[in-house]
Amino acid sequence: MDNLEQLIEDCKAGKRQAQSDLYRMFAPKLFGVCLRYSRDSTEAEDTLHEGFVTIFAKIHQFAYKGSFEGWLKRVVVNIALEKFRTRYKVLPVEDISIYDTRSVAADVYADLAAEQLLELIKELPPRYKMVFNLYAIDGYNHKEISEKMGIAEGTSKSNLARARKILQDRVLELGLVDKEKTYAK
Amino acid sequence: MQNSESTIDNSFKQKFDDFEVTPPTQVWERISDSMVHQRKRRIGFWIIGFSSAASIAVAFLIGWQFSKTDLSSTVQLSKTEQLYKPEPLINQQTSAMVQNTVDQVATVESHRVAVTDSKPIYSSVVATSKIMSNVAPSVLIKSETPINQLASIVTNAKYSTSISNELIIRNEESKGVFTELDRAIIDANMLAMNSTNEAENERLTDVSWAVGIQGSPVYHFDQPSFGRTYNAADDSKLASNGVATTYNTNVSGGVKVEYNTGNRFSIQSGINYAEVTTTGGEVGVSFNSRNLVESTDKLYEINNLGSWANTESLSNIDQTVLNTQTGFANMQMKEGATLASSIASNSLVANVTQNYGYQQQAQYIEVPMILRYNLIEKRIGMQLLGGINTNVLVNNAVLLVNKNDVVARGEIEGLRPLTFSSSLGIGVDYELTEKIGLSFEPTLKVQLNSLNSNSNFDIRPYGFGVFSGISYRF
Repeated sequence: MDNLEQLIEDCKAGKRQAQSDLYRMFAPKLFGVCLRYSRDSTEAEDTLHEGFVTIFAKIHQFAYKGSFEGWLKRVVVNIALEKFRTRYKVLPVEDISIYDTRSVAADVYADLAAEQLLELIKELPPRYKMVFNLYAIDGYNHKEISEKMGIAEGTSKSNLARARKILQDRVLELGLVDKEKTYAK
Repeated sequence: MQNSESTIDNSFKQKFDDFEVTPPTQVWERISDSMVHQRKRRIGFWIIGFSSAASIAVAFLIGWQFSKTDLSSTVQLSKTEQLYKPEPLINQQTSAMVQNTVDQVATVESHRVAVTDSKPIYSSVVATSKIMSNVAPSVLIKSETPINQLASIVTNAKYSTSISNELIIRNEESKGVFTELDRAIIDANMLAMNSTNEAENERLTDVSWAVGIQGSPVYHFDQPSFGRTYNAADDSKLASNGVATTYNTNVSGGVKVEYNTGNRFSIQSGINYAEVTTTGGEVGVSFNSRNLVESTDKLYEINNLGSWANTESLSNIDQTVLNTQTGFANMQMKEGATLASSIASNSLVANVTQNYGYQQQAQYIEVPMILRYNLIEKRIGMQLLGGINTNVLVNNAVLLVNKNDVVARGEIEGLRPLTFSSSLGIGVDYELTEKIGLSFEPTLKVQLNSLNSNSNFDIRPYGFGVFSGISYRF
């Protein structure tokens, strides 16, 4: 039994020191996830708080199938989605055909720091932000997103395309990229 | 294009794969507090569970104790009967004892006036004592038991009929001992005791139904260890975009149907109306009224007319959600109105923010299943009652109201359509006539599952009411 497995077992037994150790080990990573899904740092703290309370309450359900970190992330993402569903009503989505044609070369994002990308994501409209996070970063497919968010798969695809477009526009607006790296479709 | 999109996604994914941010230290403190709170809730749950189980156990224990009392009477009787166990008549020495016994009979008769309450039974004792003139000396010694004790034993016995039957047998065995007067007394006593026992048996085995109505004001208060756990960091939101609420005095009542099994237990069901309503403090509402008016008087006028010239749509959908103590209230605001970031310092201010009162109603149809145990079955009776209520949500409404102006309607998100509560109480009834009775029942209802499915709002109020009503038995 390795250290992590022992830590998990101790948490299952309700040992407070183990819970504290687990928090110290994974909180920074999960807080990064929370920040991506939240409007601001206060909401991210709430999500992290509720996420860990849920994690400690349900850790006995973790059966060592798949990575523990992946399980933790799924719990936190589910909490974030629950908060989203609670707070926001579904808004109609524009037709993606109205998007303009100017775009940004994809590799420019590699030049930006994660903090800059985070700011761009946080500026997205709530549902676009959720769909972009789920699909582009956390690897959910559109079917899973539609089920988790209670929207149609087509809506999920539309939101994703719109999110990408807004991100590109913001990069250009903020001058985060050289004009040589822009191109017309 | 597809590759470009994939590359964008991958760029973000790679950037965030190892992205870490250390959260503020107070987050762990809040998590620790929540864990402690959860432990307290679990303890509270067990306390309620044990209390309910203990109450039911006490009810059954009392019932068992009553049964035990009857059983002990029977045992006493058995011992008493042994006193009169006939033994073969023996030698001449007995004759002296027989004379003593005759003297005792005289003693018994001299006590007759003193125990008039137990007259029928006492006469049996007289008869018994007379029988003793034919029994063995050892038995006669026992018969010296003070007559008042003996009378008490027999008086307490519910099954004295069996004694009398035995007396008859012995009477047959001892023909010539009883006079005609004795026989008449014994026969009269037999008749009286049989009729009494029949009436008793009829009362205990009388299966009956009752229908009635009852109602009560109900006072709600939160159970300790349950309630709103939406964390403290959101209190700022609660203050700025939310409302603290208190329970109103609610009402509950309906019709009941009761089936009396005839052995002290009865089962009650029916249909009741029940409600959990709250009232909150003031909620600020801003009006996008740049092209409306600046005069506060006119604003009132416009409010009262419900007319809104401004068609600007809400810019922030989050402002239509109120953060209350029982859940998130989704509000449908009047056009041109939105929840303000704070309540107005005055009832009207230049930027046309106005304060509205918060009202919430959750109304239920309640179907109880109550078990009653009759402690006292007399004209004024008493029962212990306990059971489970199934509550079906039939109305979930929230209003923001200022005088007669309703600026927003909505509902609490996540209220469960089906909830359960337990009832524990004491019932007191008074028989007006043989068929009609009045009842007064102080009852505590304990909400078993949260009214709201959102885990942040674990709403399980106690409800206490003194239900009074009238019923018809048939």
